[in-house]
Amino acid sequence: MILEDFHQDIDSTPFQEVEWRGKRVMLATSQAQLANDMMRFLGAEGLVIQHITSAEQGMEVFHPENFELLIIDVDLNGDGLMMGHRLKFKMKEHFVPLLFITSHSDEISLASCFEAGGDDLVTIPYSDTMLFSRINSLLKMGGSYHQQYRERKELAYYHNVMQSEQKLAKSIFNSIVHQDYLDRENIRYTLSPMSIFNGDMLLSAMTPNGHEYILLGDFTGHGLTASIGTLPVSEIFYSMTAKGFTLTSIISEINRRLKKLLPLEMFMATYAIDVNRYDKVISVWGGGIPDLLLKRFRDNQMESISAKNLPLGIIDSQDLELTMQVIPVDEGDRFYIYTDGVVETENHDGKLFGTQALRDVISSAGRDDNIYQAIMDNLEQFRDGYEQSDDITLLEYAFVSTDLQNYFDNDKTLPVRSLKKMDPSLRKQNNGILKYNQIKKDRLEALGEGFIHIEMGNQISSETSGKLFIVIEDSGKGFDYNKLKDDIFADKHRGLGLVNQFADKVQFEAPGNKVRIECYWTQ
Amino acid sequence: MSVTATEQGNTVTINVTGRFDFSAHQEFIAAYRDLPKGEKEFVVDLSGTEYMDSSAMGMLLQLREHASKSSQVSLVNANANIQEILKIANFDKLFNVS
Repeated sequence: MILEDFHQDIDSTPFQEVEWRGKRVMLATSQAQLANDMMRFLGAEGLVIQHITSAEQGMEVFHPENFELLIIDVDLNGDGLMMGHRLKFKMKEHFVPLLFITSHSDEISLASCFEAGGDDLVTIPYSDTMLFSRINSLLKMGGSYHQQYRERKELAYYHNVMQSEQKLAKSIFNSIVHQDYLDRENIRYTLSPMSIFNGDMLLSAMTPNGHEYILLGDFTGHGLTASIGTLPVSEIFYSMTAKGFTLTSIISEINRRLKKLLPLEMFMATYAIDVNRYDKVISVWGGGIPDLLLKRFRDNQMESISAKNLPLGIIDSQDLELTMQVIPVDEGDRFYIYTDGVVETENHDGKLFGTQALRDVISSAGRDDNIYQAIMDNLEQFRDGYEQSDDITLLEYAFVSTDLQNYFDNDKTLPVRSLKKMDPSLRKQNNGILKYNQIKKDRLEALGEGFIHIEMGNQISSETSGKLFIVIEDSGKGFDYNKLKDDIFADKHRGLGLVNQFADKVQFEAPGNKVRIECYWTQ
Repeated sequence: MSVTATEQGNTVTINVTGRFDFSAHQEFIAAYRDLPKGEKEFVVDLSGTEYMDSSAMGMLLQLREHASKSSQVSLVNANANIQEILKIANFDKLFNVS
């Protein structure tokens, strides 16, 4: 933009005056008469002149940032050309225009001035008009160079700033979006290092009841703007999964947030999968993303499950079709989800790898083949050294019904309030929580033995109804549950208030160390 | 890549030739920007389109917002690759794809 202005400037006002006042000039000549004439003339125009009389002195005084113009007499101790040459060399990336003055007028002498790095020359005897216009044009040249030099420096600076900002952003994004939970034996995936900046994301988390949720997302476009949405998506995904929300609620919430947050033209192609290893089913929901491919272990056949919905972030959540496709799976079944970068991998001739090629690799593979590796090898072979233009995100998931990892915290402490004979109102006092925790600690240490019995069951009364119950009993002395104040039920998000809200029946038994909770269900 | 628009009655036909990607953004928007919002019916003729990416789909969403609500924006004459891309995105739920 600035450069454009500059060109316009030059074009529209070719004879524009250059400000002479204050410009610093080194005048190198040992001819007193010449020096006097020039200094009088140039001084009158406002130039600041430093007169030097030898090449050595010139070399000593010169620094490219100290002068806007050099005028060197070729006959300076017979050394003017060499001095000019050396000073030009000293300038490095700077540019200070150099004007030679010479009394020689043969072609070879004139040519040697330019060879020595001169930008222009004036022959003696010179006319003031000629000298003026030469200097004027050189100052203009120097000025435009300085402007460009500044701009280049600025660009380089901003480039550096941008790079370090990107580096920082990348590490922040990675720590938010990347979770080690994907690093397991039955999962292979590729998510190239910079893909987060192209809006690809692959998330996985466990629900409190042992389901595994997987989400593959691919945002429109490329670069940092494409990755903006990954932050809210991962935040919603992890927090709602941890709280036990269903995958459809999570999809709906992600859609709502993206619709609100993203500009109209941006959306996220999505595959969301709920892996239920107890019932041996996966429930899948796809929006605007290539087919999920499922390779059966039993008969080695491949099935493809296409995404039936629009990508997220386009329509309102209430218009979203939130039905999950439920697919029974068995030990050793492998499924593949991927972003369009995989099938849109390009080769030298601009040909695309294509969906069919991917299907062929998977369907032709044997039961014991490393399909993931075969896909990667095929892609590389196809590319044949051609640079990857879009990012590739690919996940292979081999279904196993056994517990893979002890994912849950084992040291989650049960609320043993009754067992410790604690007064809950303590927590509401000033500093109460500190006191409460201290007493809790002391009493837990002092506690020799005790028990908490938990009994759970499901009483089926007909084919479509029944009740779930939980009975909790501890070895404590109990408490007078008839004296429970109403405000203990007021907070519907925790404790008895929460239980009271979801349960159909909450019944304490004397002496207050046993409680029975019932929930009725119908289909 | 080039984008041209022709108006006939209340229908505006936009032709996109070459690669329909981010580089077409300015031109594509310019093709309908000055038309009154919410009145015109649009047909996007993709017969000359060689390639389409997700930014192009974003541009179609923007056009959809500009078009008359009484009829869907039509996407016509797409080649097999582009039809596949539109199908994967399930854009037939939002556009009249033929």
